[in-house]
Amino acid sequence: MSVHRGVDPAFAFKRSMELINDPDMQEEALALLEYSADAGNLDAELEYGTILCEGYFLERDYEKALEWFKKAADKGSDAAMYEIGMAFFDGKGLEQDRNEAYSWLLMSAEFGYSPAQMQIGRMHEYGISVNKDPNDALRWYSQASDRGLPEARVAKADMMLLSGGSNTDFHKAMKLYRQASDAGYPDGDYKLGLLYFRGKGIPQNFVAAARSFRNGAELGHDGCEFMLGKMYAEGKGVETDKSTAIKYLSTASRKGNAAAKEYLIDLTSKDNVIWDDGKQEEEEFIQLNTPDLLSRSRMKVSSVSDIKSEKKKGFFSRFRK
Amino acid sequence: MSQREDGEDYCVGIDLGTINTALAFMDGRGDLTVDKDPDGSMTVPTSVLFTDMGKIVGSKAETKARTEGYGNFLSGFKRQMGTKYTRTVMNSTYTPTEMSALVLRKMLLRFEENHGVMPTKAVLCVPGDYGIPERQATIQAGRIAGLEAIELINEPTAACIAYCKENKFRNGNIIIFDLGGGTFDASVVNVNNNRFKVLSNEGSRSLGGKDWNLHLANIIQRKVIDAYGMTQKEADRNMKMRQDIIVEARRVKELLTVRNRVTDTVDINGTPVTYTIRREEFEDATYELNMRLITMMMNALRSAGLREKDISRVVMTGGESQISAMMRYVDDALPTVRTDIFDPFTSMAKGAALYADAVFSDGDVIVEPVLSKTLGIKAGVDGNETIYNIVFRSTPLPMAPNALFRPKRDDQETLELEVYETKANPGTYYTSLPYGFMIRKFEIPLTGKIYRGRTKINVHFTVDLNGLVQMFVDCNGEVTEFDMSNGMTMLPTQIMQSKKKVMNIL
Ligand SMILES: Nc1ncnc2c1ncn2[C@@H]1O[C@H](COP(=O)(O)OP(=O)(O)OP(=O)(O)O)[C@@H](O)[C@H]1O
Ligand SMILES: [Mg+2]
Repeated sequence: MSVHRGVDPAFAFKRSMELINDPDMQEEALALLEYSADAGNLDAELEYGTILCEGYFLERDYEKALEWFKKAADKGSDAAMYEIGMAFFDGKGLEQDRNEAYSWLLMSAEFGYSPAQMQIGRMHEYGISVNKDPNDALRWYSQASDRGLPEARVAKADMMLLSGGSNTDFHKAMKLYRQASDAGYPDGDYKLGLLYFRGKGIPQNFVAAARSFRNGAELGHDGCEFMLGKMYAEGKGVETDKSTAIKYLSTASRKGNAAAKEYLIDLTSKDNVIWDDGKQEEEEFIQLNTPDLLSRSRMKVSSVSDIKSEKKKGFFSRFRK
Repeated sequence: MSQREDGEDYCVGIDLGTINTALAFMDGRGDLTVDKDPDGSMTVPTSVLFTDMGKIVGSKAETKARTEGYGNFLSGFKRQMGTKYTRTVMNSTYTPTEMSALVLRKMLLRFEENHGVMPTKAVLCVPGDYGIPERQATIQAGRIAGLEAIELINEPTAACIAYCKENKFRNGNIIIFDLGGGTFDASVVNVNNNRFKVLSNEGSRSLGGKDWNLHLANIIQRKVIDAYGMTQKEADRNMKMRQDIIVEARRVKELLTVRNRVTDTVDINGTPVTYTIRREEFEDATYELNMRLITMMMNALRSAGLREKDISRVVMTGGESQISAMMRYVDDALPTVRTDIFDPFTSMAKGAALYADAVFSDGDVIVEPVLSKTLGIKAGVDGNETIYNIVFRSTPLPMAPNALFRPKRDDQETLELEVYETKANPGTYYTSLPYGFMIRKFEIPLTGKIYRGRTKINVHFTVDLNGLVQMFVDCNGEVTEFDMSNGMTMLPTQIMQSKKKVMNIL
């Protein structure tokens, strides 16, 4: 640390960010970063905390990370408040306390930090430490989505369709899914594709559905791969092509998509693979996929998973009607 | 009030708002007065800036922070009241309670400067939607600020009292629509001369001007990003821009009340960027928020058991109710009722002062408040996902509900209870989890001989006029009290410690 004495902390931070991806310079970069954080540079405190959380460059240490986040939060950093809130939420580095999580996240959300707004929305949607209220959830999803967070766009659109009543607006939802898709968020493609596929609220359009699913499949979204495979198998929106269908279905099922696996087995084990009765199949599709349509990409919000699945069912079944 | 002339016994009412704080009192001649700054302003912004010289509270803190940065600046902590949120500024750590105490202290000091005495008794306003921990925290804040006797009143009720006094309204039902900077309340109050009976209250402690600001900030940010040619990523990383725009949004919003369009310039990374906002853009973006307020107001009316024809007035108060569209929405929802905008910034402080005169002295106002949240219990047994609601919101206070439990095993040693505050409607006896706010988890030691299914464990609650709850558990005749304030109660020594932190106010 002493080596760097007198260096401008802001400069030290910038330099360390330049060096950190160079394996030979990593140590130097980390030393600079620590120096800068010690000197009270906000960006460095945040970055150092993040590195300690990730455990990639340094050994993972949530408690130490939190100390840095707290320092940054005291300087008014909304990103740091979010990290502390999530630490409380997940119980990482301190005792889990969802009530505290809410107050930290709310502070951050009010500073306009979109991931925090998103999480607050989720807490309202599920009623975690606050009253379950779809309207409040929708309100915060709107905030985050107006700030351009793609997952919030998807969540907002889902919520609009879920909560029903005056909120239901398929065209608005479609627009939101499209925006998410434009931002490279494959969940948007998936939901958009499903809207076209089902043709509920908007005219059914298999070609457009296939296009969306293809977009998503290119980004590796297993739901899209499944749907695209299915469409190839059935010749909906695309020319029937069994081998392409199998290609997509097997990719999806390898990623653990149960529906794809089931469909694949059906497709390959029987001869009469293509159902001719569209009606019956539609029913089946809804049965099979509605939970999927509504399940969010929970990549970041791991912690919502502790809500039991039977609970969800009641919540989702409203949508089916 | 003979003692007032010799400067002894002032009772004051303080409205500690998210954005603005005001203090009112009855002067020597029994006239209702709002305490003023030397420059004539009646409200003090709820903001604190820490400097080497001391703590600056009020508008000077805001102007100074704008130039010197927001690192040592505290504001908007009212929504965090009653939680364990803390912020460390200049090496000392502050809870929201202590932050509030700083502002309250400032109000008391200003009063002392103006009138030569320090008040010791006060009525503090709290949002109608405040639950137990928040109320307890507010009382502690008052203690830390140096008050000895403290009572609470709900903001909408206080506004109603002030309205009726000033407008000589004596008889009928009033809807109070109070939209402040951080909280919203819709209350239905039955007025009968000096008796103010709250019939129902519907509100949110996290719905207020700040949310309107955020929506407007989103629009501004979009425009600025486009004008400046910034990517979304860069914008997300630029904290200073985000916060500057939010501060700016509030100003623009207030201008939009009187103008149809506002052109403004913000400084982004040293470059001035100009944008224009039309009022319709703002109204479109906040349409859903406005509709929520109306829905809540109508729910309050419904849970009061009244119809439009039973209502004599809608009184809109709170700074945010001045937004131009708001009155229109209220009028549309209740077309036959007369709607008044009443004293947006100081109505609550005035009402609190009138109430203070009654509780601490010989004033004639009588308030009959209601419980703000439904109280429920989840008892023991892992996997039990149901809250049993004991007493419902909008029930008149004070009251003493109780619930009976029986042990599951012989010689059971403890009873596990989780107490929840929820928004469950009257008549909903069971609520499923996850739902609502868990105030606290108790492990209650059982005394005496315990027989499975036979021994009675009686859980008593008492709720006072301030909405504060005590819990007593009676098992085999032994009664134990439990603290329900979620850690918000402070011991006298802790209060002494905190008092040291609220000194040196400029
Ligand atoms: N002319 C105006 N038009 C629109 N909004 C305004 C106007 N003047 C003030 N406001 C808004 O009113 C809010 C402050 O109102 P008020 O002082 O009633 O809130 P508060 O009492 O501090 O908050 P709360 O009661 O929710 O805790 C701010 O959000 C401010 O932007
Ligand atoms: Mg107010």
